[in-house]
Amino acid sequence: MRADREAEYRDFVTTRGERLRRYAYLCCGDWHLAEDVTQNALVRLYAAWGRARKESVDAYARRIITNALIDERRRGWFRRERVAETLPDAVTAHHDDGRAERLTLLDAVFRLTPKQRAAVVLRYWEDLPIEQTARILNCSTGAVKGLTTRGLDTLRGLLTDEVPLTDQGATS
Amino acid sequence: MTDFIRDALDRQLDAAAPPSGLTSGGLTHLGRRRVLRKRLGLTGVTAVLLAAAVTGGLALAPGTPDPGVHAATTTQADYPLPVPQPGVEYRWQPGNSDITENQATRELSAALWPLIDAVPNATPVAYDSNGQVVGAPLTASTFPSFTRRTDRIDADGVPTGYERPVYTQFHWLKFDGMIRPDVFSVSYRPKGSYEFGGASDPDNPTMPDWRHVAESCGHMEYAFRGEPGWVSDTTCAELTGPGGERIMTMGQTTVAPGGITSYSRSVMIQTPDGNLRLVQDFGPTPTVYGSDTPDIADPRPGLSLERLTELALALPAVILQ
Repeated sequence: MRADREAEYRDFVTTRGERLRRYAYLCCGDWHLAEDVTQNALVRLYAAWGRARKESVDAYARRIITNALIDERRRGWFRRERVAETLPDAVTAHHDDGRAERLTLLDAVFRLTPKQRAAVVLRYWEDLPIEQTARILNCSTGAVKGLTTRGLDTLRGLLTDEVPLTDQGATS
Repeated sequence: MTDFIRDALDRQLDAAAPPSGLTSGGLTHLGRRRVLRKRLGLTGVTAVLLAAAVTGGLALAPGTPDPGVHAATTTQADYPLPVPQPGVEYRWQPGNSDITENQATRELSAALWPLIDAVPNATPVAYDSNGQVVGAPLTASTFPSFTRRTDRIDADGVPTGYERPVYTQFHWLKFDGMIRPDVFSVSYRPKGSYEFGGASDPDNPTMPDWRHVAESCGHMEYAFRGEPGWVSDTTCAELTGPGGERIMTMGQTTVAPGGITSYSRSVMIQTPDGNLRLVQDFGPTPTVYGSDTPDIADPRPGLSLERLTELALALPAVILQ
């Protein structure tokens, strides 16, 4: 890779790498797996950097992460393997209001199905339009609307505190 | 709602995110290796080593053997773990499967199928995330093969250069009368790359210490994803095999808040060549994913520890490289 493009790549990793790792974590609920998948996506992105349009690399990386995590879920395996060999990160229980909120919302998000979770996170955490969310999830805009509606319904039912959930959220 | 979800999750992630091991330098290095490997049309260890040589990477830790040196040997090479430094956090970074077929995967795959096929009252199956068995029962030709991956160790998030090969296989095994299958897995780790037995991470007792493959035996109470009230009891026993193998059997019972109980059985065997075999049978999940209501009354694994031990001993010794 040319030096200037490699410098672009390094800048991208520096500025976006952590956000992508957090996106992966929100999709899978496992920091180790999130880091593995993000690393794999960014290594693949390096190989594709020359032909990737600069404005689409973020979506490209998110698509790799999303597909990898949905595949992992489809295998239905990693949760079991993690329990057996490397038990999941333990999170300290409620100590103050902020932490109680964290546990409630993260727990609720983790109870969504993988595709619902990815759709909700892309739309309402990443604030992406429906069309871009659909491209990342490789589905129709109608499917995205269905996923987010059902996801929000589930969140609404799970969250104990009254939260202003509507499906009019992100810009589209 | 957008603002609520984004802001709340950002705050929560700020508080929960562990340090990341991802660096632009490290990823650039891995990216170069991937590009070079694709250009050369090579796969596996040969490509990795060649790429590493060209890019000047793969700095091995002192005392760590180059995994390629023993490629043509017939004895198991040693992969001694790095000597831990005080105050440094060590963490495994499991790689993706990088070799889908070599001599070891072929030998292991060929040996495992007849052993599984002979398990009475059980059928190896494919299974999807919706909790449904899909397709016909597995056969010798559709049974999943072993694959190899490369695990490395980071110290405080920085690659140490230490790498070891790990060979794994897993599949689902449905026992008669059960509505969901067990998960059955086998993995091999090379000589020197592990400590035998179970030991927990001192800072997180529900996770194995980085040198071990299983957490401590005994009783544990912990929180899982923020939910306290989980209890795990692991009963261990050490045995000696007929060929001098060192054997540890581990039966684990995990009770979630609300009383839902799940079970697993594991057998680890250190063979005379120094390698470790880990054979595990996880009982069927007691609930449909996401449900709090068990629909299996007794979700214990279908194979006893004795049967698992026999099976593990019947697997072949292979050179791990």
